[in-house]
Amino acid sequence: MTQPDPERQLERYVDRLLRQQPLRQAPPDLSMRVLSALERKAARPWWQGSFAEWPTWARLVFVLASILVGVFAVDIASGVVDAVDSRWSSTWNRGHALWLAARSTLSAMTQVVPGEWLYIGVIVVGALYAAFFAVSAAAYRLLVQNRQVRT
Amino acid sequence: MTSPTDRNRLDEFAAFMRTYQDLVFTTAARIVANDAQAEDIAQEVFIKAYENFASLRDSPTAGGWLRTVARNLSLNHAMRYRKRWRFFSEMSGADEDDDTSFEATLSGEQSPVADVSDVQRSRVIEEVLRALPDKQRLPLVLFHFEDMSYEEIAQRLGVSLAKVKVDIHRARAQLARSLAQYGITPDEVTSP
Repeated sequence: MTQPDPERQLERYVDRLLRQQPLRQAPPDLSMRVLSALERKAARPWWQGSFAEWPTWARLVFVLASILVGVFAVDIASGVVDAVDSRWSSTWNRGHALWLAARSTLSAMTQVVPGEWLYIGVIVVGALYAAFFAVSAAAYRLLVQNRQVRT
Repeated sequence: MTSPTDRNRLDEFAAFMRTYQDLVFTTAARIVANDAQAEDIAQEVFIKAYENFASLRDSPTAGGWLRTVARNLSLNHAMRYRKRWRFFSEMSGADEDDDTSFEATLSGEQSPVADVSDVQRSRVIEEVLRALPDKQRLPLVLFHFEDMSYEEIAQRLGVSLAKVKVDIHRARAQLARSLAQYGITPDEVTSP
């Protein structure tokens, strides 16, 4: 006689068990909550609803206004592109100067501040980051995971 | 202020809601494993249902429609939440428990702590189900309650087929083990 497959047996057992489960009872205030939400929604002015719920005339006006704004934007953008084009080289020079200043400041710092202090600083920042991370993980387990198991 | 027509429609909808609220709430609660969130999801489902009430009112498939919407909203919620906290959840490793064989449960190695009545049994099963880690509970619920195939579950949860099979197997084993502690064993469960 062949032994029944335990995995198949387990599947059948769990399936039977779960399918016999009755529906859970919804909270008694659910229907009241839904009805109040629907009444609140119905009392809202139309412009606070989604675009699909707007009156047709409002949707048409909005689309036309969007097209007009788009046309103006393209017009204005072409003027801006010309203006930016002429100033681009000076912006690039400014950016390059900033980079050079940052680099020289950093090299000056390494000469003035002892190397050990820099290493200690990096270690402290790393430790603080790790501590922050550990506290976040602990808080998550304590506040979120445990609460989920309890509820 | 609502007009008499709106009031009448709301009354009809309230009756419709009473018929289906347990179904919608149960579907959501089993997926998200949190009653407060399930209630929020059920509310969202019924607001959508109200927008489609004209076609749902007399439809014989209204229950199926509501269940599908509840399942999709709950899964979206669970997946969003899972992505946000996946890293921390996986740090805990709580769901990597040992995979004690089902045969141990079958042979009654774990003696029942107490016998439970039929009413309590349903509650115990829901609690044990809820206590399973998300990554095991979700595929298990989708397979056994929502009648989704392994492939559909893998696709919906964005994981491999092999992982879905392993997680469901572990979930079943864990469920059987936990239930055995309450005296719910395969011998005790009879075919309907």
